[in-house]
Amino acid sequence: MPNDPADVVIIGAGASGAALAWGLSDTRMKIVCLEQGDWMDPAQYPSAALDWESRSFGDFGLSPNGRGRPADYPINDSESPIKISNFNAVGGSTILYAAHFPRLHPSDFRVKTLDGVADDWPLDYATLAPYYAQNDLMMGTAGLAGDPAYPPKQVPLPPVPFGKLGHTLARGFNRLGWHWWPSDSAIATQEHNGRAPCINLGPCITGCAQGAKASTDVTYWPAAVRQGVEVRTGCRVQEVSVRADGMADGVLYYDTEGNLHRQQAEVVVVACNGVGTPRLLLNSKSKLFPDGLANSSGLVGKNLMFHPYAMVTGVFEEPLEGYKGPTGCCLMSQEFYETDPARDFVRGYSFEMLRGRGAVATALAGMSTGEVPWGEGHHDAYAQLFDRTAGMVIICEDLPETCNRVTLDPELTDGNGIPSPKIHYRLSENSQKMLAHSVARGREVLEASGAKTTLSNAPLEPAGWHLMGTARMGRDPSTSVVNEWGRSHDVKNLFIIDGSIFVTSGAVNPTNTIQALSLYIADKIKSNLANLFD
Amino acid sequence: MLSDEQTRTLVNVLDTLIPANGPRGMPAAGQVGVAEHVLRAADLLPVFTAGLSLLVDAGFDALDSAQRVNALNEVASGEPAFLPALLFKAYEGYYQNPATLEALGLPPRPPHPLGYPVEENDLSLLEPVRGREKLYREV
Repeated sequence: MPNDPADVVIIGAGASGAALAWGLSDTRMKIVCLEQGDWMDPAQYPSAALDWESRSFGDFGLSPNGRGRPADYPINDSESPIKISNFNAVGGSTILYAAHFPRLHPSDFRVKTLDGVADDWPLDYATLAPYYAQNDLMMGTAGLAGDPAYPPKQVPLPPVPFGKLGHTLARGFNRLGWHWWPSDSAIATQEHNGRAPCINLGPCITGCAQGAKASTDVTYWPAAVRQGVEVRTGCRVQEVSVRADGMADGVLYYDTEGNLHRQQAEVVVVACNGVGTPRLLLNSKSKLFPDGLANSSGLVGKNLMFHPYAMVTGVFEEPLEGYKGPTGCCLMSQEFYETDPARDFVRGYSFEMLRGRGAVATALAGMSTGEVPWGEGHHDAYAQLFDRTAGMVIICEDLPETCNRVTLDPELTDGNGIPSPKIHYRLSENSQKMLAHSVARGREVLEASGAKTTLSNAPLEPAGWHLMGTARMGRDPSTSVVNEWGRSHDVKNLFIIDGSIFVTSGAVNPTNTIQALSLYIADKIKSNLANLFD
Repeated sequence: MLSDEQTRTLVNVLDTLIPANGPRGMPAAGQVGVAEHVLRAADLLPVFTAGLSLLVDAGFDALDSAQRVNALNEVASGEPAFLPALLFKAYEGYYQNPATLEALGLPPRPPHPLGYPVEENDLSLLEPVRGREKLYREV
């Protein structure tokens, strides 16, 4: 069934699709975004009911394989020590993210030049800086200017509260003389663009019932829709179709009833994240593109990067009020971010502080570690842990390797019969050394903060939430999939704008960079409209 | 669906797993309706039924406290999925129950819409960090 042709069709309504749609919306082009999920209803988010912790293991769980939502597609991640976490809805994975919002560093764009590994990006920090700033305003970034770990930058909103827990850890960092700073967080700490301020609910990662967390369904999308962009939900794209001359001419998608539709467009934008994007391109095979669309380099799906995560938790003597405040957004440290030749690994990592566990999670964690038995000793052991844990996650930079990749599973399909992605991933020796170093330093700072015992978990299995590198950008068509502004080398009216285009991963959460890139690409599309396909 | 006898035994099992604790003011799990939460896990019902059948056969309800612990450990070795699954659902149900939350000193309500007050930031703690040289590398 044909639809009216569009000027631009965007596939995916998550972080990148939303930013690009808004960025292009002032052109008054006909822009249609196809999203396989639906609009979320914040009143139905778990934090509005007593069973909020249960639901974080159920319909708001991180893994699409366990969540059972109709909008999800299964992912075979059985051969990866890190499992995929994502969400399919208007807002994409920003519905569930913790809203850490740091930028990459200038050095992250020049890893080959500085450290002799991986590749340099075809653009630099200075080029993206104004787009970071614009994105900070649109999303409403909270934080504090003056961080010595970054070039000077402004932050629109005051930082999220440290709380008793954050103050305790900050003193620990100071005792060691290590860097720390209030996190950049996409959380409205004051009313911002009509969004209510954060009231410290705690469980940000099951959706923000308050609307303070900047998921794109409450930031970019309302603004883009007001400008005339259409968001069409319940649309699962099967493939990008091409004309005889090799240009994309639109997409084929299924509606929720299983009917196949065609959406023609002059420009096709893929914004499906680092797993969904290569899946779609590899599924878009044709006589002209037998190895998948935009894949003459053979790199579609390759160079998959996560951030190998570690979690280090300390148990303290005193209550820390850790259930109050945004889940993970009070403080971060980049003491070990940049390469140090004295270490046995290149590149580095960030610490991000975590609030304490909820009442249910405390019991379940105690069960898994054996610290909380059932029976007579249960309550005494539980009391030693509840509201007495604080910790951190550690984000290690992942370097690109072609053996880490996304392919199509030969058997597994989604509800529409579209082949599912399969993840092939192993931790590099560099990552393993970095994880070991980071866990030791994490224990050190927790002990300096007063923890009586510490526990660690590395790599953190469910932490496959940063999906990068599988359609990398670059100037050379033989070593990259898209150019420096997201345009496919092979198909001149096909753009890729999500984390797939990252050349390297840095050691920070990628969403701010993904969106800054989307805004940059939108600007490039607008400024090149006259000869966009040359 | 459990039989009435199995349901009664489930309540007693829950009281054994998470007993009351007077000094801490904590209620027993079976007394605050956790069985209803457990039984909502339809996918786990066969696991629960298998374990509870064995406990009913062992006369669990008539045993004293020490004997109940022994009986549970015996069933756990014969039905290895039973106890971990039951504990998972029991902890979920117990620690999101208003009576438990109140006993822990938490408000017996969901986080939204009232949220929580959090103390003001002490930014003076940043002084030693502000005094540092830049950490990032120029390129």
